[in-house]
Amino acid sequence: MLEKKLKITEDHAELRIDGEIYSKETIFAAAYIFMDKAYILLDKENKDFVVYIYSQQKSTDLRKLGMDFCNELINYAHYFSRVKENAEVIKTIMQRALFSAAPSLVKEAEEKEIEDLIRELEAEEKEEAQTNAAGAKKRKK
Amino acid sequence: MLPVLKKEKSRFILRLNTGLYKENIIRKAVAEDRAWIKIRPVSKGCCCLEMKTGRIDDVLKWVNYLIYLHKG
Repeated sequence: MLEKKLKITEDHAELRIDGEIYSKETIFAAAYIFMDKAYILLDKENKDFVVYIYSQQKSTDLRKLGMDFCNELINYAHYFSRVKENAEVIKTIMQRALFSAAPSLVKEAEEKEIEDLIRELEAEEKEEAQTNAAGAKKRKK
Repeated sequence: MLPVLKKEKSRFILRLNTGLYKENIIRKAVAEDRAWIKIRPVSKGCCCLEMKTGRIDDVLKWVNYLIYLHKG
């Protein structure tokens, strides 16, 4: 099974990655980490990504390099998955951190939120009034 | 499909998938090294570069530089 996904040649390792499991961003992130020890060339064949890994040193074990790249993929896939799940929480923490540095921003943000709420309520009341008027017209007929 | 990296007499032909590597970044990087890299007529979905060097290391270092540029 591994031989289908990781092919070792004389001067490089060729790794086939399922595009439905790992995203392009994950592959680029893993490739970036490997830049200090390998040269990375990326390609795509149908839904698979193909990663060509050339070692920067001749003595390097290409199979190990390939397997390490796989581990790095899992690392970044997990990282991006966590970031996505915690996006709202991260945003709240960042806002609080920024606002604590500039308290006037808190007041401004609160005022803006109140204005937005008032606008929303007015829009809802208008819509309700229009609906009621249309209903009353129908009943008269 | 063309191989991704092909060695000819004293040059390499590199095929880059434009679904992976952004064309504007490729063009920017090529412009920096136009003394030895030329873009060949582009076909759909890929960008072929002619790299006037006999050393694969030069090509591979440049490809790593592309990844660096994509990271931003």
